[in-house]
Parts: sequence; C-alpha cells; structure tokens
Amino acid sequence: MDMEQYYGRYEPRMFVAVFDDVERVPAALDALRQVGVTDDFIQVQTGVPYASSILGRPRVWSAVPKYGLTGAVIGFGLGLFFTHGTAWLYPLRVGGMPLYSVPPSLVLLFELTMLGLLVSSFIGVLVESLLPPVGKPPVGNRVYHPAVSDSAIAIFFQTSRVLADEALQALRGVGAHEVTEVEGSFV
Amino acid sequence: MSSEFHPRNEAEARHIEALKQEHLLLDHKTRAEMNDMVMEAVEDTSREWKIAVTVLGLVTAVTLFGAWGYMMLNGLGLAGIRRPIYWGLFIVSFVFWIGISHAGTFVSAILRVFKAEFRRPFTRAAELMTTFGLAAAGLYPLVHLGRTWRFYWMMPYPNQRWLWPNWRSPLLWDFFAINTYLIGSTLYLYLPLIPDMAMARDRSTGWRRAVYGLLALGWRGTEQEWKNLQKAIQIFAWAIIPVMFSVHTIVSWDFAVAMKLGWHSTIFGPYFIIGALLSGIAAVNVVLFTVRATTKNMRYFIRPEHFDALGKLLLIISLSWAYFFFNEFILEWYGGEHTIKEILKFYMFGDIAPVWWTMVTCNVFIPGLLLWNRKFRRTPWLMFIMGIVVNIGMFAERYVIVTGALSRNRFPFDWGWYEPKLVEISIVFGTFMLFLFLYTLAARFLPLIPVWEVEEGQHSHTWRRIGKAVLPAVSDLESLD
Repeated sequence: MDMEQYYGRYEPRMFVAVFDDVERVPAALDALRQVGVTDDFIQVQTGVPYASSILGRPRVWSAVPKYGLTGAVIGFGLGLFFTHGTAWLYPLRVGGMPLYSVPPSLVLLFELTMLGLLVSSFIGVLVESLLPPVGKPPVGNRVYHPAVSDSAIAIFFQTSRVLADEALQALRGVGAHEVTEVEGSFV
Repeated sequence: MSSEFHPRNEAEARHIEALKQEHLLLDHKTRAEMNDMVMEAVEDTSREWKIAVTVLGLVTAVTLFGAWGYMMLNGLGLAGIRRPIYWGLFIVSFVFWIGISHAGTFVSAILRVFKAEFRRPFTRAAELMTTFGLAAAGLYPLVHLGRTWRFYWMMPYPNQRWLWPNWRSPLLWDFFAINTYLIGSTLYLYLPLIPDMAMARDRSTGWRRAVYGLLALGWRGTEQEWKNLQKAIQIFAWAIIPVMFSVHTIVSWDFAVAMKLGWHSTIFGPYFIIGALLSGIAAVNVVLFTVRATTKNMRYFIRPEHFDALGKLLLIISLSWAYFFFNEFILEWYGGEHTIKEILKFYMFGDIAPVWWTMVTCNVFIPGLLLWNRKFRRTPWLMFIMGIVVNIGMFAERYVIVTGALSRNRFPFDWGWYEPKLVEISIVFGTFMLFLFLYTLAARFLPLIPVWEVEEGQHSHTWRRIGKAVLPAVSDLESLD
C-alpha cells in the first residue's frame, strides 16, 4: 500500500441517508454513532421542526434571542435620544416648563424598543442560519436533499473511507430508502 | 410519525371517518400531496384570474391614484371637509383599515401563543390581510396631507435650525407605531413563509424557481435553521401582540388626547382595540370564504370547523364591543353635560342617526342573535355575509365617531354637517380595490397555506381509545426541546 492509498482510506467523504418515517431516525443515528461517526459530523434535515429529543440529537441552542435583546437595547437608546437627547441639542426653555416630558416619551420608547427587538430578531435568523459563516465555503456547496420539502428526513454524515461501508450497511439495515455519496459541506 | 389506527368494527370506522371529514388535522395526507395541492393553487393563473387582476388594477389606478392625483392638482378643497369638520372619510377609512390589519396578528400571534390548533391552515391568509390592510391604511395620512409631497416632514430628522419634530404629538406617535407594526407584521408574515418558499423553489421552474429560491434564502431545514426560526417566530408572536395593542391605542389617542367632547375619553384605547378586533376577525371570515371559493384545493384546508371557531371568536368580541360601547355611552349620558347630551341626541335621533343605528344593529344585534347558532357558524357563505355586515357596522362606528362628534361643539354657531364628496368616495373605494388587487396577486404567488405548520399539526393529532370510545388526542410537540 503506497502513501496515497494509505491516506486515501482516511480521506473524509460525505453521504446522505434518506428516511420516510421519523420513527426510524433515532435508530439510524444510534447506528452511525456505533460505527464511530460522532454527532459533530452528522446533520439532520427535516421538512417540519422535530425537537432534538425526538431525534435523539444533542440539544440545539439558538442565539436569536441575544440578537433580539441587543436590538431592543439599541432601539431603547434611539428612543431616549429622540425624546430626551434632541431636546438638549437646541434647548428651548419656555416659561419654566421642563425641557422634556416623561409620560409621552414612553410611547416612543416602547415603539422603538419593540422595533429594535423585531428587526434584530429577524437579522438574527438571517445571520445565524441562512448566511454561511465567515471563512466557510459559499452557499452553493451546502448539502441539501430536495425530498426534505416533501417531509423526507435526510441524514448527512461525514466519515472516512474505512468506516463508510459499515455505516452505509447499518443505515440500510434500519430502513434508509436511499443512501448515496454527496459532495459539499454542512455549513 | 405513524398515524395508523385500526378500527375494531364498522361503526368505529364510520365514526373515525366522520371525524376526519370534520377536522383537517385528523384527515392526514402526505406532505407531497399537500405540497402539490398548494402549488397547483399558486400556479393556477387562469384566463379569468388574469382578467380579474387586470380589471382590479385598472379600477385601482383610476379610482384611487387618479382621484388622488386630481385632488393633489386641485387642492384638498375638493374634499367635503370644512370647518368645523376637518376630519372626514379619509380619517374614517384610515381607522377602518388599521382595524382590519389587527386580525392577522390577533389570529396568528395570539392563537399561536395559546397553541390553538385550529389556527394552522389560515394564519397566513390572515397575516396577508394585516400587511395589505396596513398598506391601505398607510396611504390615508398621505392623502389627508393634501400637499402629499411634504410627507417627509413627518420623518424624525431635524430641520436647518436643528429643531426636531414634536415627540409629544400623537400624530408622530402614529408614524412610529404604524411603521413598527408594518415592519413587524411583514417580517412576521415572512418568517414562517421561508420553509414554504423552499418547498415552492424545489417544485418550480423558470422565473418562479429563481424568485422562490431568492426568497427561501437558501433554506434546507437543518436542526439549527428550525431552532432559529422557531425562536424568532416565538419572539415575534409575543412581541407583536403589545405592538398591535399600541397601534390602535395610539390611533384612538389621535382623538382622545384632544379636549373635544365625544372624543376625550379614557376608555377610547381599549374601545378602539376591541372594535379593531371585531372588524378584523369579521374580515378574516370574508377573506377565508373568498379564498376557499376561488382558489383550487382550498376546501381541503379551510373547512366549516374553521368558520365555526372564528364565529365563536366573533361572538365573544362582538359582546365585548357591546360592553365597551355601553360603558362609554352610559357614563357620558349619565354625566348630563349639556354638549355631550346634544352629541348623543344627534347620534341617536339627528341626521346621523341612520348611521348610528346601523352601527348598533350590525355590531351587536345581528351577530348577537345569529352567532349562537352552530349551523350558522358552520355555513361558510353565511359567515361571509356576517363578515360584511359587521364591517359595515364598524365603518359606520368610525364614521359616527369622526364626523358625528365634530358636528356638535360647545357653541351652536360651531355646529356643522359633513357630506363626503365624489373624490373622497372614489379614493375610499379605490383603497378597497387596492386591497383586493394586492390580495388577488399574492394568492397566486405565495403559498397561502403554511404546509409545514399543517403537517406539524397533523403529526400532533393521533387517535386514542378510552374504553369503547375512540377519540382524537393531541400531543404538545411544540413544547418539546
């Protein structure tokens, strides 16, 4: 065995296994883990949202609320600037009246806080899930199976050539109706 | 998820079949079948549809933009608004359309928060109403300006002397509230649409595939994408509710902060909100019936059970409106203030009385008497008529509040009578046409049914046997993490 053949055995390859029924997916994922494919190298695509506990996958966290909170704080700050800050830019004092009034300010503070929350939550969805992370391959290379929108469940996994046959056999054993090799990346 | 259930005998099979006919979420179809049905409806641009869109577009162009342009050229004097009645049909319609826009959010967000399963097939149809209703409402401040080209004066930026707009003016609050609501509700419409756009992308060709692909934003349905989307939808559902309340409250404050008898009332905020919900939910019935009648395959998705549920909601809101109306009315009448008594007399027995009685009849008597009946609620065309009747009542309510109260002031020399002129009627008619035009276009471009939400609902619904009875059982899949 020459060097190229030796290292070729460990070259990562990506596969997809497609299932019609979610009931088979946890068993398929267990089978992959038994073969030695860890959760970091598995991605599950579904046509409806399944909780991690249904699929038997590690819990997924979302950073969208952090975006929302940041946007809300920015919106509140903008509201403060409008209702209180601008009064100081060109102060007009009239007959001992205060420069600004708190109760009517609350309306704008509320609206701008909510606007910041909503817009930034939306931006959070775009940044966190739909745009590729900086430095990663472009969107065109991301793996996808169109049967997902017809409710099929696609398990993409990456493994070395030495483990591939065993993994594919295990997946067919738990009822995958299609197991093929694909090119691309998870991100 | 398996939905198979084997009946033990003929009677049980019939019982299950009857329940399936009744409830969409028990009447399982495969996702591929449902996708096909929705896409068939979207791509059905028949000759009749093209004619309808062209006619609606032309009528909108002439009656709305034509009349508006004519008014801009000749001045606001063409409208019937004169001292002392400075607010007429434009403001009436503005309040009306803001009210219509409330239903989408109410139906979608509140029912989502409370996990009401019957909401699933029609949330998008209602959310579209919000967006287009706001688009129609947003025109009126511009129309009412007269000098529309000065609209940028409403925007929050300083003039040459570094003087900013008056943040304490309810009209400026309107600007912020309506824009927040418009942006928020449009994004709220778009977020759950992303997976359906991906479905449409996977099933179309040509220009449609390109556009759907762009709008799907590269959606693949990964665990991370679903998690982010669900979190965002949750945030929107909770946050858009207080925004919705704030919008119509602020619209009511346009009136209530004025020291004007008949307007200056502390109950105006909630009274306006309940009125908005009444007209909005009634409009959802109208839209659902129209979509069901004119769009392919919609009879599977929109069923009598949905009209029944909306009918119950409409009845509750109608009774709530009656409660607020009576609260407002009785205290003003009981107070005995002379001008207020004149206003109330004018409402009930004066020239505006037919409008006032139309309001009471359409908003309280008719829904109150008919919506108790289950058969009535489950008949889509009757609910369509009910939707129209309630909206006539709610338009009348706004007409009475805006023009009626301004007709009677403290001194009789300041009394007046308002008659809408042709240009106003044309613009108001034009916005109805605009709404229909936009909705007709959208119904053939966007998947009106959120298929993934319907499928999720069908996964949650299974059968359970208790003793000898077979019952539908619902699992709360949304609460799993």
